[in-house]
Amino acid sequence: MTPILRVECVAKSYGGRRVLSAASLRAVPGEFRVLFGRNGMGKSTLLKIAAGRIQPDGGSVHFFGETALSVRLPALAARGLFYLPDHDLLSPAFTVRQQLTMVQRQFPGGDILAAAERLGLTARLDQRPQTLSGGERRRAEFACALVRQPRCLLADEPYRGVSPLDADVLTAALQSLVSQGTAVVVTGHEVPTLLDAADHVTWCTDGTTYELGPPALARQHDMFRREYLGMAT
Amino acid sequence: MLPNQLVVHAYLRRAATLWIVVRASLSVLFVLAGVDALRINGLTMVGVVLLCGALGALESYRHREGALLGNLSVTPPMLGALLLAPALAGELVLRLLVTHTK
Repeated sequence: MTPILRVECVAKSYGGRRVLSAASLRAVPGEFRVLFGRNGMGKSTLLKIAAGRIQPDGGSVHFFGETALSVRLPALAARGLFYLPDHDLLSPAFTVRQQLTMVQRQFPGGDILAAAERLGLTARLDQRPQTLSGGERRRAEFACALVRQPRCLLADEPYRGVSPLDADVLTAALQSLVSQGTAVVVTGHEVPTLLDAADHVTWCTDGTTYELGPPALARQHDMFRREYLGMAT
Repeated sequence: MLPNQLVVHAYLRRAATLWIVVRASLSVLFVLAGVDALRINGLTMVGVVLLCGALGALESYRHREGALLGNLSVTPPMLGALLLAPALAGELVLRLLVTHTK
């Protein structure tokens, strides 16, 4: 299927330190893609570029086949992208319900109560995010994504600090979006969880990316096994 | 795409609260300096409005709301307008009241 989002050969440096030199990323409708990489290899930078949160030094971003010289999240969001950053998405200034309602009013279609029930948040809707546990905050962010019903979801380390049970709930939510045709790209280090759930693996290392294909093939990739999974070949 | 009413009201309310706090604090300083706090000149008025906008932006930054607002399709210029509008309106109303009570 044609990718809904293509990031082609992007480069990015921070203060003279080159983080990405020629990295690419694709998000395909109905596919759960995972982006692996060691810490500091540029996964979050690549996702931020894809989401229009930062601008690349070189390369291009194509969304719905359109190339933008300078993509910004608000414009991409209006066209169906939803981005979960590697820090809390929800503002401590509003309750979870208020923020879910903001999303629903902006992009009608989603059901707040159904999303909250699915993620076990019904009793937490009128609380502010800072009063929730880390796992509950992640689930509240996923509830936002379910209410939004995006065409493309980019999630940066959404499993950080969550228990295995919460991780299963998050994975089920991601898979429900994928089954509705959403293009999902997730980063993280939860190898067993992500390899079990993913349709495709991309590996980010040394400023570039390798498309490893389905998890079964990725598991057999010598360099990936040796340099990321830490397994003897 | 314009932000929905809920977002508009939430940020206008925050900016209005901020303006009231800033204006009250500055008024105390003006009085202490022997200046009529209600009869500030145009340049000072612009300064108050910009100060309120900057503090509103700082508040949004402190709450790390960039990604949330981006996902809601709220652009930085839209946010700027929401943060400046209450302070500007408040200052204009004050100026009108002072002019008509001369």
